[in-house]
Parts: sequence; C-alpha cells; structure tokens
Amino acid sequence: MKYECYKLFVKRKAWLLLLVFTALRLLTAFLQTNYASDYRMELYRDAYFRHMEVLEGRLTEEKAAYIEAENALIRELTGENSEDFIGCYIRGEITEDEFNERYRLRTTGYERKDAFAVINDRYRSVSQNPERVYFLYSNGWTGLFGNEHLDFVLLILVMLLTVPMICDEFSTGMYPLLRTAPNGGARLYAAKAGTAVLTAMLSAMLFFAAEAGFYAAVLGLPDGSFPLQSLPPFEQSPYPVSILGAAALTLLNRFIGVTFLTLALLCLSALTKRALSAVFLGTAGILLPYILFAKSSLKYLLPTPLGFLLSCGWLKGSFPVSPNAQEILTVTPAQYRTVLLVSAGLTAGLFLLGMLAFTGFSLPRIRRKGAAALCLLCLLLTGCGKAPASEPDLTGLVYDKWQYRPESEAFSVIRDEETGSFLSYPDSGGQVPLIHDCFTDTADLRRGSLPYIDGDTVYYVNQYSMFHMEIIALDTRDFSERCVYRAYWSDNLDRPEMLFGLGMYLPSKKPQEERTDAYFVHHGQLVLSKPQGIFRIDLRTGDECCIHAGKTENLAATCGYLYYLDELLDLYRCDLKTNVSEKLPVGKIRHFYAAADGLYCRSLKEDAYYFVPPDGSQKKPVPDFDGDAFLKGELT
Amino acid sequence: MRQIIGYELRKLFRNRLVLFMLALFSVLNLYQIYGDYRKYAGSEKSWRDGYFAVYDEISGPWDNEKIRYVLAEYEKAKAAVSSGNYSTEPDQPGTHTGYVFGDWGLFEQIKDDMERMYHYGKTMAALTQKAADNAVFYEEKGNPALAKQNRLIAETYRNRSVAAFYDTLGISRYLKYDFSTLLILMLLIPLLSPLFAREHESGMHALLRLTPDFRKLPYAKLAACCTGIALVCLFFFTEDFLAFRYFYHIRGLSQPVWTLPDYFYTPLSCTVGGCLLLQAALKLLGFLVIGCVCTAFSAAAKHELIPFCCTFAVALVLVLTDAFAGSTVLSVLNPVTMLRNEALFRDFKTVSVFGRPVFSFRLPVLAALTEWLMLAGLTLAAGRLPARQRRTRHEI
Repeated sequence: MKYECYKLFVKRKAWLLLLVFTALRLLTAFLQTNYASDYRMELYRDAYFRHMEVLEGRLTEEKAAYIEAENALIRELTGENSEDFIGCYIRGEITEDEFNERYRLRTTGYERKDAFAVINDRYRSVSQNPERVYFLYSNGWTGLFGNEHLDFVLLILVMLLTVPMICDEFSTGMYPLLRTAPNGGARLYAAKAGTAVLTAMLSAMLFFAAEAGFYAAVLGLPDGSFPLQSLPPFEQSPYPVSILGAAALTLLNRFIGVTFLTLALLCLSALTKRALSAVFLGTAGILLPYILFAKSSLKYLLPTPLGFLLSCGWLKGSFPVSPNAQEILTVTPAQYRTVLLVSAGLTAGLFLLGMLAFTGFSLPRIRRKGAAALCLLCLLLTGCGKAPASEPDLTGLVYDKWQYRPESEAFSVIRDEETGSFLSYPDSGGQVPLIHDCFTDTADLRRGSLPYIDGDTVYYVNQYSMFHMEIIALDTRDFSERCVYRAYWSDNLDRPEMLFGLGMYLPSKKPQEERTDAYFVHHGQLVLSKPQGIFRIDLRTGDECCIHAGKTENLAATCGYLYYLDELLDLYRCDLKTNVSEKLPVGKIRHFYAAADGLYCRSLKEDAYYFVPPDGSQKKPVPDFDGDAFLKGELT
Repeated sequence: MRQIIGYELRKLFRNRLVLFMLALFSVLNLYQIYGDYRKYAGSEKSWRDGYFAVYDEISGPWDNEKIRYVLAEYEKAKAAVSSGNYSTEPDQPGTHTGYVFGDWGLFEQIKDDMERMYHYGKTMAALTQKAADNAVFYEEKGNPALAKQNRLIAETYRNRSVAAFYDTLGISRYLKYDFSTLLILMLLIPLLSPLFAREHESGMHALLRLTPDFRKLPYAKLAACCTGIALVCLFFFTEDFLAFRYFYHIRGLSQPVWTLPDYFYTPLSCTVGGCLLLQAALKLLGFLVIGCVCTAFSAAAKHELIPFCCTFAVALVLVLTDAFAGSTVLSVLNPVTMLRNEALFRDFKTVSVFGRPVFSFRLPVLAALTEWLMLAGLTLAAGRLPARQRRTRHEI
C-alpha cells in the first residue's frame, strides 16, 4: 500500500491534482457566496450585526424585551404619528435641524424595519423552540454544509484518481505480470482500494477544510457550539447536536459517500477493464438519481453514494425541496440507519466483487497508454465602439413631469385611454398611431408613462410585465424603433430556466432593485429617477453617472439645470454639464413646478407659493398661484 | 465504403455497456413520462378518465350542439361551486371527474380553449389587416424594412382558421418534454468517445494506416457516428411519441400547429405532426453538433477518457450558458438551443438581413448546420493525422 501511495502521489502527481481541484472548489465556493442563504443578512449586514451583539445566543427575557422595544420603535418611526413632525415644523415648534433629524429618522425607520425583518422571522422560530433554536449569524455555516448542491469537483477528482488505478494496469499490459506476482491479486487490489479510499477521504477533508477556511474568512463561522437547529435549514432536525458536531457528521457522511463511490468505481473498473466505461457508469449512477429524484427523498434513501455525498439532508429532518417550494422532504434517523447499513453491506459487496473481478480469469487486453492534450472552447463577446461624446446642448431645456405636454413644433402626442396614443400634426391636422405593434391587444403606452419628445424622436416606456420595462426611442421620420434602456427587477428570488429542469439546483439571484419611477430625455441625455437615486445616461455613448444618491422626489428641469427634492424636502439643482449638485437656500419645499424662467415652489412651512429664480437666490411670494391652472397652461 | 460504415456501426453498438444503458435509459424515460402524465393529466384516475371522456365527446369539427353542451356544463358546475353547496367527497354522481370542483375546473379550461380556437380566425384576420395597413404606412414614411416586415406578417398569418376542436394537452406536454434529451446526451458521449481514440489506444491506428482503405476510414467513422446518433434519437423519439400517445391519448396531428395554446402567434404553417417532426429534426441537428464535438476530441486524443471528460465539460458549459445567456449571440451559436427548440417557433421574431426580414429561428439552425460541418471537417482532419509515437511507460 505504501508503494501504491507513492505511485499515486509521486508518479502520477496526484498532489498536483489535489491542489488544482481544491483551488477549483474554492472558486465555486466564491461564486456561490453571492447567493448566500439569506441575502437579507448581507443586504443589511451592519444593522444585523449590531442587533446580533445583543441577541446572539439563547433567547432570554431581556432579549425578547429588546426585540419588542425595537419593533415598537420601528412602529413609532414609520407609523401614522411619524407625520406629526411635519406639522410641528409648520407650526414652528421644531427647528429645521430638528425637522431634518426627524425626517431622517422616519426614512431610516423603514430601513430599520427591512433590516429587522430577518430578526423578526428568526424570532418566530426561536420563540417556538427556545431550547434548541438560538439567534445566530448563519450564512457562513449554511454555505459550508447547509445546501444540497452536489460537489461535482470532488466527484470528478475521485473519478480521475480512482479509475486509472485499475484500468491502467490493463491498458499498459501490467495486469498479467501482477497476477503472477506473490503480492498480486487480492492483496494488490486491497492495497489499491485502501489507497484510493484514503486519497478520496483526504480529498473530501481537504475540500471541506478549504471551504471552512474560505467561509470563515469571508462570511464568518461563529458560535459552533450552538444547537444545530439554530441554522434555518436545520430547524426541523431531530438530532441534538451542536453546529460543529453537525459539521463533523456532514464530513463523516462525505467520507462514507466517497468511500462508497471509490469502491464502486474500483469494482466497475475491475469488471469493465475500461476507464471510459467505469467513469460513465459512475457518472450515470450519481447524476441520474440526482436529476430524477430532485424533489423526492429517494435521492437519500436509495443505496447509492449520492445521499451521502449530499450529506446535509440526513441532518435536516423535514425540509422544502428548494427555497419557496411547497414540496417537503422528510428523512428520519431510522431511515438513515437503514440506508447506512444497506450501503455498508453494498460497499463490502462491491469490494469483494471488485476483488474477484481483479483476481478473476478475464483475459487481459494489451493497450497502449496514451497522452492527452486538448483545447477548450472559448466564447468571446465583442463590444461596440462608442461614439465620441459631445457637449449636450441644454438650452431651452424645460421639462417637468407634472406640467409636461409632449409636443414639438412639428407634432404632439395625444393620449386617449380608449383609443390609444397618437402623433398629432397640427399643420396637416392628421393623426397617426404612435405604436404599430400587431401582436398586442392594446398597443398603448404602459404604466401611464409620459412620452418625451426630443427633436424628431419620441421616447416612451414599454413595459412587458410588472418586473420589466424598456424605454423605446421612436424616430418619427420613418417610425423605426430601438430600445435605449432596459431594466429588470424582482421582489423574490429568481431562478434561471434550464434544460431538464435543473435550474432548481442553481443558486437564485437576489432581488434586483432597478425599478424606475420617472425619466425624461433631452438632447440624447436620459435622466432616470430610481429608488437608489437619480442617474443620467448619455444615449449616444452609453456613459452612466449618478447625479444624486438616495431617494428623491419631484424631478424637473429648466434653464439648463435639473431640480429635485431630496428625502429631507430640500431643493437641489444639478448642473447637467458638470453633474455637480448644490442645495438651494429656499427652505423646505412640499413640491414645485418648473417654468421657463424659474420655479414655483410651495413652501412646507408657510404652505404658500413662491417664485424662485434658477439660482434660488431669492423668493418672491406668489399668493394667487394656482397649480392646476399652471398645469393646464392657463397662467401667463 | 458501405461495408466499412456498417462495420463501424456494429463496433459502436455491439457493446454490452451501451446496450445495457440503452435498455436502462428507455425504462427511466418511460418512468419519467408516466410521472409527467400523472402530474399534468391529474393524479386521480377518476379525474383523468372524466377528462378524456369529455374530450372524446366534444372533439371534432365545430358543432353548435357541442358548444352549447360545454357552456351548459360549465354554467352548471359554476353555479354549484358559487353556491358553496357541494360535496368535496370523491365519486360524486352526475359529475364527469368525480368532483364538482373538478368539473368546474375542467369545463372552464375547455371553454377557454374553445373560445381561443373558435375566434382564432377573426383575430388573425384583424391582425393581417393591421399588418397590411402598417405596410402601407411604413412605405409612405420611407421605412422599407418595417414595411417588408409587416408584409411578411400579413402573408404569414393570412387565411388562418381552426376547423375543429381537440385536446391539446398531450401535444403541448410532448413538445415541452426534454428528459429524453438528457438521456440521449448521456448515452452519446460514451458511445462516441472511443470512435477514434480506441484505435490509437489499442495500437490499431498504425496497422490501419497500412490498409488500402485507410483514407476512407475517417469518413466511414464520421458517417457511422452520424448514423448512430440518428438511430439513438429515432429510438428515443419513437418511444416518447408512443408513450405520450398511449398515456395522453394524443390527437390532432393533422390539425394546424397554431391550434396549440403556446403557438398562437407561431410563424409556422404546418400541421402539428409536421411540427413534431421539425422539432425532432432540430434536436437531431443539435445532437449531431455535440456528437461531432465528441468525435473531434476523440480524433485528437489518444485515450478514450479524454474525449469523454472534455465533451462532458463542454456539454455542461453549453447547458449552463443556455440558461444564463438569454436572447443574445451566445444563444444563437449554442447547439443546446436546438435541443430546447420548443420556444423557437412560438412568436413572430425577425432579424433584418441586408434589409430583408428573416425569421430569427433560422439563425440558430444555420449556425448549428455550420458548426456541424466545421466540426465534421475538424474530425476528418484530426482523424487523418499520423499516430504520434510515444514512449510507453510500464509501471509496477
């Protein structure tokens, strides 16, 4: 056996394979960390860890009180009474700084609510079983051994190390020599089996250790002494073990799995005497049950290595097939013991069968050992060159979402709820449908969006679903269309569609926040208002920049500047040439309207309208200002 | 040459492992089809029997009596469910599925299908007219590309109608079924990996080079490879069709393909049977491309395990790319698109090629054909290379 180890590690350089595959395993672990088990913990990581400083561990009365107090604070910050501070400011009971502070608190109240939601969800489980379920940051442990992903890297490594141990003896013609040697035959087979099993176990341990190191460094593996049920995937586990104990059991299961797999591969190698056949049968024996029984507990209950290689399911008890799935799988300790015994028997049987086949009377076939070097398929994506940017012409820029009427010198856009949207040509008096799509029931603009006219181009929003939108540019000269902006967003985890329904095994994408609330276009500049802030995209070059980060309201443009209210109701203006924003000294504003020479602002405190010039240098009261009339264009 | 091809084919299939896996996979395939049938045609036998009995009664050319019957049964079931005064116990008398709620669901589905099929002709006539109007409009606006596209729409959807009503569940499920695709893929890779590599591994390559027909050998092997792929595909496609026909009582093979719910706007103008054949042909093309990837690796490798691992890795990458690529150039070039071709023909999508609108489903087909020919050429070139002399290492 010593010599078999020497052959494997020195002659065949298995140590190099181990290193390469360990690196590969770390790479796959790195790719999977982006899809952590509970993305909310990562999204609000700082807030979550702040709470964990108090809550980590077993539930106590003090911790329950802390949770109740935090929930009460969140209700206070985000509830109806949160509006009172606006009235206080109007009545002069609080200063502007106090107003800002309270407004910020209300905004952060919603963020606190989102960040605390994961704690509240865990609190429900913890309070039902306080003896076994503790508060714990679980993403690291769950990533290490909480998911049911098959370790293909380990599978391929075991096959590459194990199968040639037997098959190469036949292919090189050594087998007849070995049969005649005193220690050939059964002893040699046992030595090879021992070497292969030890190497496979070493691989499994190396992979596990590397992953543990990786997760410890990236996500953290705290509090291994806590009960296993503290990890969300293992809430229903019937085993009274700690997390570290469960990790050790998982590793033990993997040892059993790779032992089973190794001996099965050796047996297949001895029976078929061909590397290809053995690898194919081994792959099919693992892959087919993995696919066929994806939503069934049979993948654990069948006496194959698959259940042990997946390993974590044995410890889970009852668990959903996949996140958000309805189907529940149940695997009991009794079933585990039965499968373990049957698998042990089967493993012993395979070992004996392999030994018999190796020492049997099959005729050796002389094969020449070959060498292999092959190329990999590469796919390249090419990008498009970008046109050089020129300075955008912002003269005459007057756009306000509230008062904008889509018209130019040549045409205007008329929207009718029943008949659709039309381009109206005042010179000829004619009307042309804006959209000529044959395949939609109501070929009309979606989401009540305002189309914007920029020269000869009309920009409108075309939304295909609740989670998808496109901004289309329609050239009114020849009515050709192109998509200038596309965004997707989702509220739930999203899995890709894949052949054979295997998408359920792929990690889910986190919800994307790309929703766009408002936009306008002028001279090739697309300005978008999203929950994350205001962004500007140069449609000619594709360059994107952030004008303001954070929630904004009341986006409008006039006199060459972009004006908006931030979440504290302060008025900002942004120079679209330099993207520099400055706060205007006009106080808190409820909302404003953009006019050709300035802004009409409704003050929060006085609840009255003022005219403000573009630089906000002064405020001139406009007591008789009528917003509705202004919107209709009836005011001069 | 034919003799050599025949002999290569025999070499491929006279392998106990391959035959064993073929038998095993066909059993697994049947198991999966039966699972699909239980899932989509109802888990209860009474529901399934009722479903097929009702469709047997109402299928066929349009008949006012059948329409009235369906509407009457729907109203009756709807009234019973709305009243809340119904039993949830099985085998209710006077029901088709054994359940009052089941009857409501069944007849609601039949009513919706009937409405869709009945009004199809009118919908398409309106669409064709709109497309014709659009063509005139775009000509006036000086946009010949969109004008041609709308003329193509008008031409494609002209004179479409549905003359009969039938159950489309079986055909729809058959078109979506792809487990046999996985099995074929898993079978083809070990089947084709030794095609060239074994000759090198066994040392036969040097001997074969001395034979007079050696130059024909790579062509014969390639022909045998393509024939082998076609035979395996034929086996599984036939099994799929027969199994689906048996379980789902498939009907309507001679009906137009646009009678299927997912193919409402399909640009295809063939029958359902024709669509099934087209789908099978495209899958075969996809398998030929992947098969030639395998044979190219096999021709370049000297150990049969290498093409197996490399083809497996390439297939995995292609399947993953297909899942994440979306509608990009990658999906056009990816042969897995041929294996998942059900979605290719659902909608009217075109691309402009030299100012002419071309159906977008033609692009991946052309790409697959080109890839197949290129890979076949690569295989032939690699297969005619001399065997490299390597020092054989004997290890004790």
